[in-house]
Parts: sequence; C-alpha cells; structure tokens
Amino acid sequence: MILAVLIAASLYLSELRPSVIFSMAGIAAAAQFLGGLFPPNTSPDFLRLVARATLETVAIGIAGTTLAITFGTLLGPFGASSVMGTRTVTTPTRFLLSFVRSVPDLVWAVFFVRIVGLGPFAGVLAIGVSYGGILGKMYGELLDAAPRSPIEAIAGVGAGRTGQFVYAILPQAWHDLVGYSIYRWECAVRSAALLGIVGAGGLGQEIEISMRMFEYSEVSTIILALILIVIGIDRISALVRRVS
Amino acid sequence: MNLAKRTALITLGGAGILASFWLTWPDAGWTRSSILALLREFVPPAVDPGFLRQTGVAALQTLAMSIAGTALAFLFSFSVAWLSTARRALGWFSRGLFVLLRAVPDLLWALIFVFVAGLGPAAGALALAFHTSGVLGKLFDDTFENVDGRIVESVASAGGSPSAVSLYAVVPQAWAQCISFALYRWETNIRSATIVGVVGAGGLGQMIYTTTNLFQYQRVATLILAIFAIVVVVDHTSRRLQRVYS
Repeated sequence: MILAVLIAASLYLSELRPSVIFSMAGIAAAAQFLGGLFPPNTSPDFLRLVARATLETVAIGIAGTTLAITFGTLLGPFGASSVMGTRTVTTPTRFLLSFVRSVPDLVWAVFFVRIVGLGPFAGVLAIGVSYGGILGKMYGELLDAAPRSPIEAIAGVGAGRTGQFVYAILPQAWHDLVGYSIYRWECAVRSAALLGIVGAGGLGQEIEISMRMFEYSEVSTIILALILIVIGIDRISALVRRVS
Repeated sequence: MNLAKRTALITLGGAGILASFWLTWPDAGWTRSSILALLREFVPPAVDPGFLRQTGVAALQTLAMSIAGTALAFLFSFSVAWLSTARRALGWFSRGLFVLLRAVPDLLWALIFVFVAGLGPAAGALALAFHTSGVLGKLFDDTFENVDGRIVESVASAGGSPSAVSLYAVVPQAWAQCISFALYRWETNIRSATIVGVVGAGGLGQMIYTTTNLFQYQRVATLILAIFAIVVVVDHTSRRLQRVYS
C-alpha cells in the first residue's frame, strides 16, 4: 500500500503524463529520429573521425583504469581490517571511498572538464577517481575475505603485520583482485564512451555533436562503433583472464 | 601458456597503457596553482535558503525519477517475461527486445527522450525505464527458467493449463528473487538518475550542469553533497527492504 502511494507520487513528481508520451509532436519527433538513423553514415572522412574517437575511448578506459588501480591499491589496504587491525584508519578510509564512489563518474567528468579543460584527460581523471573508489572498496573486501588460518599460521611463527600481508593475505586474494580489476576495466571503457557527452573526449563527444546538428545517420554509425567496442573488450578481457 | 607468449602479452599490455596515457594527455595550459585556485572555489558549499530549497526539490525529482523508472521497468519486464514462459514464440521475441533495450545505455536513451519528450524529469524516468526493462527482463527470464521443475510438473500433471502453471508454480518461486533484483536496480538507478539529468533530464544532474556552466562552484559543491546524501539514503532503504522481502 505504502509502496503503491510512493510509486504513484514518483510518477507524478517525474512529470510523466500520458500527454507527454503520446503527444503527436513527440511521436513525430521520434519517427523523424528513428528514420534519420538509417542508413548509417559511412563516408570515409566520418569513418576516420569515428575510428579516432573509438581509439580515444579505449585509451580513456585503459588510462583511467590504470589510475583507478593505483588509487585502489594505495587506499584499499587501509580500508581492510585484516590488514590494519584497527578501526581508526579503516573508518575514515572507507568513508572517503564511499564518497568518491557515490558521486557518479559523469558528474566527476563535469567537474574535471572544468578543471583540466575539454578533452579526454578529464575523462581519464573522472574514471580514475570514481573507479578508484569502487576498486578501493573491493580490494579492501577481497583482502578481508582471505581465509584466516594461513594468516594465523604465519602470525604464529612470528610474522608481523607486513609479513602477514605479503606472505598470507596478498597471495590468497591475488587472483580475485586481478579478476575484479579486469571486470571493472570493461565497465570503464563503456563509461568512457559516454563521458564524452559532457565534453570529456571519445565517442560520447561525437554523439553529442551529431545529435546537436541533427545528423542522425552519424549517430547510428557511432552506436555501431560502441557495439564493436563492447564486443572487442569482451574478447580482450577473456584473453587477459586466461593469462593471469 | 608459455613464458615467451606471456612476456609478449605483458609487454603489449604495458605498451597499451603507455600509449593510452600519451593519447589522452592534455595540451598543457593548466598548472598546479591554477588547479588549487579552482578547487578553492568549491568551498564553502552554498547554503542560502533559496538555493537549498531548489536543491531539495531537485533531489526529490531525482529520487522520483529513479523510483518511477524502476517501477515501470519492473511492471513491463515482469509481465513480458512472465507471459513468455507460457508462449515459446513470444520468448524469442521478448529476448531480442530485452537485448536491444539494455544494449543502449540509459544516458543514450535519455538523449533520445529529451529530444522526444522535451527537457525535464519525464525524459529521465522513461530513459531509466527503457534501459532497466532490458536488464530486469534478462534477469527475470533467467529466474523463471531456473525455478524448481518438480513443482512446475506437479501443477501441469494435475491438469493445470500453461497459464495456471506460470501463475501457481513459476511466479511464487521467482517472486522474492525478482523483488531483490528490482531493489538492486533501484540502487543503480538512483546513480543513473543523477547522470541522465546532465543531458537535460531534470533533477540534481541538470542543476549540476547549469551551475557548472555558470561557474557557480560553491553551488556545485552543495549539489555533489546532495547526490552523496540521496545515494546513501537509497542504499540503506534498499538493504532494509531487501531484508524484509527475503
């Protein structure tokens, strides 16, 4: 009952009216848009532009994830109680990580576009910060999830906290740490494609520009490039998983 | 995999990372002092009552967008996934539809709906509903497929029609899992709801976009804190509900 009222209120507040969805103007605009998508624009000049933007998107994803892994590696252990053994460090670390994680990457991108200017580097920083928060949290949890008995065994023969970390916690968590980082890299490339909409380079920026100029045939080419990227990174990450 | 191949791949990976930084590196033009000066413009966050009221309304709008989008998606994908348990031909169709819906990211749906339905939260709610329908549809399909076959058979062998089977054997088993998926998507959607705002679909995201363009950084700081607050509230509420329903 409460749920129903809540949902009704939400529908009302988000200004969803039948008149909005089923207005003639809206339907005409949708038809015009969908019709404009075909055929995709395949002029050599535009394809070259899209190829460049695709490369840039992948580069943003890779550089951003590298940055995020660095942040996560630096902060993650400080959020793991099995590594620190005291809450005075883990609590503020976890708060910081949860803050950077709660603010979506696109908002970070708006922020960084202001600071370092338009272009792909803002995207790299945005992914670095927000994914750094996610990775830092997961690294902490994965380190905490390492089975206790080997850690206690090595502590029993006199190893300090550092020894326990290097010889018992890290080796046990290693495989999960790598696997999770790769999974996040996939997500980062997909995000990178969209960050451009606020000016952070890559395919997103091209989508923004084409939409603004009502060049829908260009939009469909870019969407096809997006799909290719998603398939491509799927393959690459499967390869990397096999190697690690 | 042998050592040589492994070394080659690691070298390739390293080169890829270096190339990525090289490709995305900015053309100077910003220095450390200018960044610090810019960062200082974000503090203290703006707290004038008028702006706080605006922020409150926008936060409510973002929240409403996430709830409306998730609820609509639940309604649509649950009914379609449920109907297709009884009709095989419909199953093929719905699977394809779900793939298409989720392949297009919510931000892209938002760009389209801002264009179709105009600026404002309606576009955002629709965008979330479309993308989420695709995600939930796949999850519901899988859930319906993995229900205990013995119960399904016992209803069918007692003479239950296909629709009776899905109503009395499939849905009761899958319901809790479906609710739990929907709650998880709600947590994702509160984040997406702020994101789609940035392209003009209302709420906190739209305000972030306008205030940054007007260089009102202290207001941006307030808005970022507001986003943090509603995300935390939704995460907690969702976990609570999760415990109630499972």
